[in-house]
Amino acid sequence: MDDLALAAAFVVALLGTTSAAAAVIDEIAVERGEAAAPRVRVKLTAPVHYIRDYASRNGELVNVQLEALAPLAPGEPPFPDEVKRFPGSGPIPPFTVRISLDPLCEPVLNPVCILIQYERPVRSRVRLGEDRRSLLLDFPTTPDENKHSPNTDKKK
Amino acid sequence: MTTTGLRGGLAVAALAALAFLAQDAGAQASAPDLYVVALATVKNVADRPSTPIPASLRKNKVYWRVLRSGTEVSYQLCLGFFGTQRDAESARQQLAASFREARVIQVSPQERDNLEKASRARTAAPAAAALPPPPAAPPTAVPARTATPPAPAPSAQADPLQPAAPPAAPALAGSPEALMAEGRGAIVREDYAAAIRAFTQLLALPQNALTRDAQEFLALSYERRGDTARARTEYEDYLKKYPEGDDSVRVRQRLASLAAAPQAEVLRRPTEPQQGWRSFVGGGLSQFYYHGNSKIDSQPLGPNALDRTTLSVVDQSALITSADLNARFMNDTHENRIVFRDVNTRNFIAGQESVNRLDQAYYDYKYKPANASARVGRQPGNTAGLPGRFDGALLGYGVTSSTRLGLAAGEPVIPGFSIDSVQRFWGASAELGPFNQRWSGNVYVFRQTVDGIDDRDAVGAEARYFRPDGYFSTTVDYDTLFRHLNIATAQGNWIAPWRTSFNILLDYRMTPSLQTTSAIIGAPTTSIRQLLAIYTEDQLRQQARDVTAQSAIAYGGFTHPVTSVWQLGVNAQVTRISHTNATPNYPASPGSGYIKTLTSQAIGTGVFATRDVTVASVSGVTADTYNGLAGQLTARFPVGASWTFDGAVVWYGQKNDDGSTLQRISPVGRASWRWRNSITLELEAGIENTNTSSAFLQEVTHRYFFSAGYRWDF
Repeated sequence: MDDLALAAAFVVALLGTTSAAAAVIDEIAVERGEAAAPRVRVKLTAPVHYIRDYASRNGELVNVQLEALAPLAPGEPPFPDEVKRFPGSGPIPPFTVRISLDPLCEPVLNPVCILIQYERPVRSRVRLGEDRRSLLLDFPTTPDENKHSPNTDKKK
Repeated sequence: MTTTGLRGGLAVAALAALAFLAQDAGAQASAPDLYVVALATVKNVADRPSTPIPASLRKNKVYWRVLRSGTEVSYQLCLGFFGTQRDAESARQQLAASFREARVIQVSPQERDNLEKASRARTAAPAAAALPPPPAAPPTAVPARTATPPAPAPSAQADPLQPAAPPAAPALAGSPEALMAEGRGAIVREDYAAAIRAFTQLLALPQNALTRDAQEFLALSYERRGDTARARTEYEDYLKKYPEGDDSVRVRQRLASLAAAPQAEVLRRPTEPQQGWRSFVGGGLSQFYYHGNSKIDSQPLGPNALDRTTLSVVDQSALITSADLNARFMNDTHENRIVFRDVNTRNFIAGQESVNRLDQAYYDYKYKPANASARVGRQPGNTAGLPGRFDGALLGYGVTSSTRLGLAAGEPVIPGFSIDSVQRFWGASAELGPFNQRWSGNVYVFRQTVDGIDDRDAVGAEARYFRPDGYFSTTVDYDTLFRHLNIATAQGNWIAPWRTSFNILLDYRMTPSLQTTSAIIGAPTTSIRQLLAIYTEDQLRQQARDVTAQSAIAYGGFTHPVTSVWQLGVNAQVTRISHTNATPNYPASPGSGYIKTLTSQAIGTGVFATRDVTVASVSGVTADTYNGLAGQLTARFPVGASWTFDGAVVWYGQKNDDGSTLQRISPVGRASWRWRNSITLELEAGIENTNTSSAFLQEVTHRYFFSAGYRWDF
């Protein structure tokens, strides 16, 4: 019976159509965004669906809730979180990306919950990349009150 | 520099002279049109992207065009001139890797002639005397620079090279206006030595309307020249003199940027042509110990119930070590990258294996002018039908700016698992787009064998539509071997003008993915070759199909900010996983039925201070055999520069149709402390109390767990 369970677990993992290990971040790269504004692309190892994002008032913490279209770590416990650090580049401050696949972090089938913590307050904007497997962090050079991550300099 | 004040800097001689050379246009009107490649459009010339121009195109001119839409001004960086559209398109393709949004546009010969005349005029006359004030922002009327309007829409009516305002009278040499114009022009020309001379001279004059800007531009010039220390001094000097105002806010940000000067992958300015090789090495090492202990108290119920039993067990004791290395070596043409990622789990509980998982180990090469790439080694797939991870090679080549071909071959990998069968695959794909800067997609074919027989044959396509306020995409994967739809997905997101964010997902897929290898589920061997001695190929495929379920998800939701602090969200989801049939080696399993979930969330940002995020959510679940209700409260807040605290309380209650119930509550806390920006210490601890009750048994499980460790980022 153990062999049966092992084989079943194996095949579920084998054929899960996505990566069997919770290595969700492939690369963090610097690009130029719209109007040549600084942009960071957080490349993921699987396509995802964007649900929402929200940031602390000073923009230091940014949460991005995604859903993987298939389990990213089938059969594995939801630990440990994957953490990567970006050293900063020009006007982009250093930040840490923490990815949790904890099923409790978002009430969807295959949640991918991302916390971005900048080393200092910054105004940024998050959206899903056009390839569906990357996150774009834009750092606009002009104020925009509609941004999710307001600039502390504009706040009381 | 992000100031519209620098718009004035656009007054390179080329543009400044255009105003008074415009009358020559008529003479050129009948000449055939020319073509240029519009590389990028920016709001400020100071935001000019780096321009790695291939050697074959360096004979062409790089220049700015001015685009006006109403009162808004933006600047278009162009490469010209080309006699035919084909030549321009060829150039654009060479530049596509560096300028994804580049496009070919038609211009009049007047534009080229004006540029040439302006260049001659610039070299013929002293800059300070010849340069009129910049057309977009005369130095004597510097606009509020932090209030730069958004860039004009792509459809904005461009008025290339035609200054909106008539040229002002030339300023006197040595006057503040002339020095400002000279300095700005020098910045645009990337002649920072000249810019520093001009601004220094200006600052030596008595206080005037341009002194403040000159101080900032002087600092900027030092920054652009790479003299960070001097730039910092000048910025600090600025803030001492002008501590208030929007410009001071910007200067503080620039000063902060200098303080956080990057060690690698610097966003390049046009003044810093990266002609040589540069390298970057980063990564991390972490070790965390995880421990969990459960105490289970069971009380059988009923007239013949057994005695109460208590079991205490360590259910988790493991040290997880993660190593991550990312090294780059590149110039403007070539990029080499080596990636290594490994996770080792050392289990301390008897009977639980220690495992090592090599997630990634690959070498990646990119040749930017041809948009070509090659990646070899263990790498992630998950695109164009490829497995999630594989050992092999992935090649790509951009045949045109909107078509990129891909070819992959290798063996799928599941770290930590192995089977006694050999799976091999190849796949070919074409990545298409973007078209109209909105549409893209791909088509692919994929074939995989296992022990020499067909394992999975698929064709697929993906279409994506993206715009700044949302996207929609759809994917189809059809298995030609099983003659069955494998995946069909549609998803979308839209942020409405009133800031409500909507999203939707419809997903159907076979789970696991259709392939002959699934026949080993439950079999006494993991060798397809051995199973072929017992079953035919068709029988194996039928068994594979029998153990493959169909998963369907429909999800929709929205989030809306109701105040400056709170936003509310509601999601509804229906999921269903079908039953599977019995095979000679594996029993049938029932389907899940429809599981319906409705969730509402309240997200607070800045509830207690400017740095915290608080989320409260409530979910209701309805399924064929149970109903559940879940609540969750989480909060996260940094303290000081080094500490971050997280806390969460999760509650879940479930009532089953057979009368049994389950209740669980779990508070968890985590603290992390960062030391010298490279070492992070982390401690997480929590408890979980679960109470299950039925007519025959009452059971209470008390579990506590913690983890502690460090992470070193380098």
